[in-house]
Amino acid sequence: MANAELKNVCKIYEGGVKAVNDFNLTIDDKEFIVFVGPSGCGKSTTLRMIAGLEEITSGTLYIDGVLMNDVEPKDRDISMVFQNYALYPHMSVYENMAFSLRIKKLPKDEIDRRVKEAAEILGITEYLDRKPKALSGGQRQRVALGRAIVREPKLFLLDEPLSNLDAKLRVQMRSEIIKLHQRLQTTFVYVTHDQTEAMTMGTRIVVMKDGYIMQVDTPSNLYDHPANDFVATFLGSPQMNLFDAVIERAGEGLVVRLAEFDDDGNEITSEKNITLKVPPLKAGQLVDESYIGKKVTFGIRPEDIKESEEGADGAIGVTAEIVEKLGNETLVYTHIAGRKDYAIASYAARTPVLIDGVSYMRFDMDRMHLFDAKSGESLLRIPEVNLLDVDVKCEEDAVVLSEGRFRSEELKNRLVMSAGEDAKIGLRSEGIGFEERENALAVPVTVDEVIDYGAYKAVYSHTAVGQRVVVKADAEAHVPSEGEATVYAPVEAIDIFAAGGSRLTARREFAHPVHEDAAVVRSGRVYRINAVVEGVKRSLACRVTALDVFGEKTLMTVRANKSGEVYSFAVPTDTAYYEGMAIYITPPRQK
Amino acid sequence: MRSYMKKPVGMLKFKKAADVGLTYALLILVGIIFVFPCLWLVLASFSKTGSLYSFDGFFPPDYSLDSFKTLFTDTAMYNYPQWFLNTLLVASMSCIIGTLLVILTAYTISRFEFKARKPLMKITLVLGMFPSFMGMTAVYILMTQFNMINNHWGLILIYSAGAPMGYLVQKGFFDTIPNSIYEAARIDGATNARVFCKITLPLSKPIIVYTALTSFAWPWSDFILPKLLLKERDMYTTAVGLMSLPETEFARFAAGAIFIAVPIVVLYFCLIKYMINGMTAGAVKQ
Repeated sequence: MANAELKNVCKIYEGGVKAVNDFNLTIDDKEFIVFVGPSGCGKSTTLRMIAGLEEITSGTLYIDGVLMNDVEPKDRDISMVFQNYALYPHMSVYENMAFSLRIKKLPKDEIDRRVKEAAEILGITEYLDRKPKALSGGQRQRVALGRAIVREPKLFLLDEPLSNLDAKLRVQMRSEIIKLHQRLQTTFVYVTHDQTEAMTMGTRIVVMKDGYIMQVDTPSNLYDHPANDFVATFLGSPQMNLFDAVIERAGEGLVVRLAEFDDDGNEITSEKNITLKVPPLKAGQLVDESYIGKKVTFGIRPEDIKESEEGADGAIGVTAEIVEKLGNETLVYTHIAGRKDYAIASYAARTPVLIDGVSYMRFDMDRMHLFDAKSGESLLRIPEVNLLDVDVKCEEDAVVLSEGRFRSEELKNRLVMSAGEDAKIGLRSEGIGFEERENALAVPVTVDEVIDYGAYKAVYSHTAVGQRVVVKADAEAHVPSEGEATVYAPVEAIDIFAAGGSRLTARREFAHPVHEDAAVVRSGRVYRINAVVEGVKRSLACRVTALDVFGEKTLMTVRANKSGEVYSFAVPTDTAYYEGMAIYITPPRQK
Repeated sequence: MRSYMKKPVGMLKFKKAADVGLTYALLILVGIIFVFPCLWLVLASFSKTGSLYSFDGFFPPDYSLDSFKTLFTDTAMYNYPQWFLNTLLVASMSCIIGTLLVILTAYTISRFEFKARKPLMKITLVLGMFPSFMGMTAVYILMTQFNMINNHWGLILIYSAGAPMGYLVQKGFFDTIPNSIYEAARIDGATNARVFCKITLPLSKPIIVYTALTSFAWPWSDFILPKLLLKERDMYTTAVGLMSLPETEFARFAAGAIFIAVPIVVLYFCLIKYMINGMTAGAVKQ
């Protein structure tokens, strides 16, 4: 029984190809976690790094609290099932399963007991004497599973184990693996590119793309609350319909206007604009009001499109072009009348659909999605930071907030750049809560809404002056459902922002003083910080220990390999940096 | 609609028969070219007079089994049984040591990533392009230095050390064993040595047999190196020994030459059953 923790894990292959970037994940005991993503997204590489078959370029891996970076695969107490089974062809099924136990020098009767028990679970007892070549694909995969079971590992790693099986067998093996997980009560890490497998098997899913984690959440939260348009379109078949749109104010509430844009991003004025009313609950979730009036992406899933009638509220005229009757549902590929937009709707089975004539549909706006037009980030997400206009004063040794009601030396120590009078504070939604605690900023609020996401809850509230405060709380945490309450923000959950929006505090400790305007020069694969640093006369080999991005500037904290001395530099932001990266501090040459 | 012209059935039959006939004629011709020298050698070995000059045209006038008898009985001058044993010793030892070295070299180059891997492969490829007798003077001097002239172990050393140069075929075989099998074994807790002994070797029977056969056949029939290094008549290998026979003993030469083929043929028939393909069938999904 084990948990695993990956911190800032990176994989960079020779030649500089980054396969995995800054991977952070905590896998809990007995969890069934699924890595999913398109080919080349780094999911298998991450699994192989956990297994120890691939070296971790930087970052740390802990299994049960023990650092595993340099531990041999055999000593990690894991077992792995490969996509192509990887059975030993010259050994019988029994020998295949007993191989690892013989190496461990277990007593013969213990080996026999374990092998027979595993064979019983998997229903391969009658094949124990056969060689792998005399087995079918499904049976071979069972043997591979059996070989993993007998080791009784802490962590079960499965690398696309079903992708070589035919569709029917895959469904069958899928449920068998789920049953196996329930029976063994072990932590499973499962890699697949098949979204159905991910959705049906995982207790949590990690969606990856290009080496980055896109979102980690339960299957239903990924489907209902995707963090970005990639997750939204990757999960679900047929995929979510996306339209260009503009958010606008209409009276008290908000509307989404489906708009058309030319290639330069300018809106094409059209009289046939479709305006959709945003339900108040969704409007309250809009992460940032600055999006109002801007181009965004509006998303709606095919099953959230309903049939409608002419003149009905929210009815949109469409022309159905193709109808696919799948038996359990009917997919309708439509062309929105007078526009270039297409929409796929999923109607109930046996719904009569008029082809090539005008029919009407409506969007279920309670299930709408909004995304940033450029970054693709969801706009209806829990904001990471709640920005509040609070009186901020920087004294010599501390920062004083709320007219002297809160005073913190730590905040002053984390302050990288000096804060002006008009600075704001940001409360991190994940770090704050309703439980009273000491040394925390108390903010009186009125609770508006609690949204339950299963594994966690979001509490939407507002201050006396109408500023929104969102608290992300654990599922078990006790939160008020409405009325007056107080939000407590411990100092580590508070940031200070400049009026322009850039963060001024680092999120971890750094060395004083900060060497400002240091340049990073790359020569070949070697990075050098060109800066005059006291006591550094020649190149000093270091490793990056922390990176804090402040817009165009990044606070880079490095530790000297030999002396252990810590230095902090404000360097231009670049995606090439990662924690654990080797870097040299090199004084500029004197001319 | 496109219409097809039908060819008459008789014409087709004739064409097919001509095709097959021509193929057979060619095969028979090639067969004769191959078999004739062997046949001639066999017939010559049964020659009664023994001298090449007494032949009536191509073939000997009288036949007898004398040459085979003298090959093994008349050992005062030309000790064929001794030569045979010498060759057997050199070839067997070279075969065992050489096979071991080739398999280890090929496995290392196929499985492990190390800095000198690519340069090493390139160097062996270039060196392999030069014929081995180019270094003969150097080999002779070296062997003199090591006091290994007239010593069978000198020959064995050269054959065994030279064998890994031809590792490419074996490497190609090891490359086909899927990496995931090795990774599975590593996770199962096997060390490199155990992986090699318990996984690689059992899967590599065909290539080991092939390697053993080739590394036996080379010293078995080599002439140049033994001629260079072996000076005493009793130390000779069969190839050198037979060449030392005078022209009048041609029948004995032919009989000895035929007898050389025996061990190779026996070895071949013993090992052929291991040289079957598909040893890795069922390991991974193809």
